[in-house]
Amino acid sequence: MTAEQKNFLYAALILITLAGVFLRFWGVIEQPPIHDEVMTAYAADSYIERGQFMYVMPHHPKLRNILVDLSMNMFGRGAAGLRGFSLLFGCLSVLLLGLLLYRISSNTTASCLAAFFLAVDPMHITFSRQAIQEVHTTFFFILGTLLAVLSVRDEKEEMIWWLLPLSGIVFGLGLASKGHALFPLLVCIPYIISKTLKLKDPGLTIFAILSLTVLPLTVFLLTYIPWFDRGYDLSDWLFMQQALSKEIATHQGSSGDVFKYTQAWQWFINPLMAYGNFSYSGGKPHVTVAMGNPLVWLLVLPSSFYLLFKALKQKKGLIVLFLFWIPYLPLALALRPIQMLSSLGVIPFAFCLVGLTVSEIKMKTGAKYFYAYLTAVLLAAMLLYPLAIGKALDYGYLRSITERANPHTINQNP
Amino acid sequence: MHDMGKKTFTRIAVRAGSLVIAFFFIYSLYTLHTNGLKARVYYTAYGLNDTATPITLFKNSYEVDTFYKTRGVHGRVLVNFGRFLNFVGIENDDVFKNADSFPVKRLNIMEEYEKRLTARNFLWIAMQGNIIREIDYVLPDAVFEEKGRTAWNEQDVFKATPDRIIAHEWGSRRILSNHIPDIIEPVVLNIDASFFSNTDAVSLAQEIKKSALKADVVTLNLSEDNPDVTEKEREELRKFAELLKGERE
Repeated sequence: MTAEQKNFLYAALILITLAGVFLRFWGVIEQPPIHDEVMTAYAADSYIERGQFMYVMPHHPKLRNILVDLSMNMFGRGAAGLRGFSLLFGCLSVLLLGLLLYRISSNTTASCLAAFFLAVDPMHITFSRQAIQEVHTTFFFILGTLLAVLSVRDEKEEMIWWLLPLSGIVFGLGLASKGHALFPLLVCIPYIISKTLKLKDPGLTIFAILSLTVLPLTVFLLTYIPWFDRGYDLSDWLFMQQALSKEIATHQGSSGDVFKYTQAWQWFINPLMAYGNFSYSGGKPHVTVAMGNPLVWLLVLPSSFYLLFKALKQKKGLIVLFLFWIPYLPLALALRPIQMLSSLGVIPFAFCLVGLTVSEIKMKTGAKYFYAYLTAVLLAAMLLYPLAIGKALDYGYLRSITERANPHTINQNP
Repeated sequence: MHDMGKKTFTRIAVRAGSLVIAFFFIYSLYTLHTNGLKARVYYTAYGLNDTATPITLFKNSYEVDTFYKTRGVHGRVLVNFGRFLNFVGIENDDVFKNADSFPVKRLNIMEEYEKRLTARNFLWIAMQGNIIREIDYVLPDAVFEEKGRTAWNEQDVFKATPDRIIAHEWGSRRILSNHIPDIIEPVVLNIDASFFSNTDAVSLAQEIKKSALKADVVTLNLSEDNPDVTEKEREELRKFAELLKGERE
């Protein structure tokens, strides 16, 4: 890669990230909190003060409580204090995804596209503006994967001694946010081990295994310090993890959940799947509807099959496919309802697949269709943007989507 | 030469790194485990046939809760004899009403819970306040059989066997049984008047004394705040208290 290409990549990624920053920050202070966000503040209080798991998604790991407590201490109990880390991580994820795909594929166009799709994706924007852990998890597993891939760059071992433990720590933070971080880690472990084996140093392989297994586990464990202060020991911790894993595996969602939109296998087939949330403030209702950009999401499965076919033929390029399919398959095959917010554990890598495919199509068909497609994606994102920022009811053309995401309407015809 | 030096440095660094990670992991395990044990507050414990066992009779759940707090009980296993679980959680909507706006109000959540303390929820509140970390319920046979019939359908049941049901409150054990559990560590013991629906003071006293349990806090709760407990059951608990006192004298 020439210095000029490098500068272009960085400039493009910075511009895309800035667009992502704008979409995530615009009006976020005035956006009233949904019930889950308010409960997040109390969950953080309860966890830090008493080690309790109550109030919102108590079966998931606990880093969110620690981060929300930290940001509330810095910025108070308003929007900035509650949403601070989600905003920060949401914005940084855009940049990191571009860098990650570039590191894996050396494809500038695809990398910029993946970052762009994430920057303007209504689903990712919605949860970057909410004080829950979905975007935290996404950020940590993208960064963890990037650091892991960087650590074995060019199969040299110069940076491995600090990048790989850093990756392990970041994956640990991801696991401590939500279990979705486990799947990219499961892809990285054999990938990194296979790279270290080529360096023919058993010490390095042991180091890699420890960095990506023991270290994340240690970080995960340490986020339970407030819980241990309740008088629990390690055997209690193991029981708690088993009990909550069972709860996660069988969780049926809260009473108002929409059964129709809880089947993950439909995410990339049904473009109008949505997850609605409601709050009341300033004398009027505010509705947030999280949904994907159909022009990107509908391309995910065709892209993955195309790239799989190509990867099998060329015997390379499988890692992005693994990064997508390994997290997605358990969700797609799950028997319990999977809420759309869980798609954040999958979409970064889904966007990488679409980015890679679209960049190939661009090479074959020329720039005209490419820019037309990008314009269409951007236009769709802008039209759907009010859904992501709590203004779903302010625009008549969004009414039908909003009604589809209304639990009361849908529960009448589940 | 320069490359060689870099390679040697990396090789030393990864070996040192492996040791640091392994040490850090073991140290974390050890520290968390021992800190958990240290967080438990124990007093002098006695076998239940020991005349020195401190036993106190209370009128209601509020008094029992106040007693636990006054004594500073923390992080303990409670063995609870009773017909009821006293574990109905307080609804969030009740505690956090009108809190759905920025800035999010600060609340003393435990104070809010304690304002709402009743016989129905006092053990739930005790667990929220970290007085207890695990509850082992000893239920009358009929109640345990009834719980066993519906256990398979309960979301919080982790495992159910013919002799006990292991449930949990977000990972904190609640074990239901119809016999006295074998627990090695000293326990907090609470005997609720409701347990006497189907047994008498003499039988229970004999059964308890045979057990290997050790306790440092023993409370007897007349449950005057529970309308489902009968006066006859309370009278039996008073007899049970007298019986223990009498044996001491």
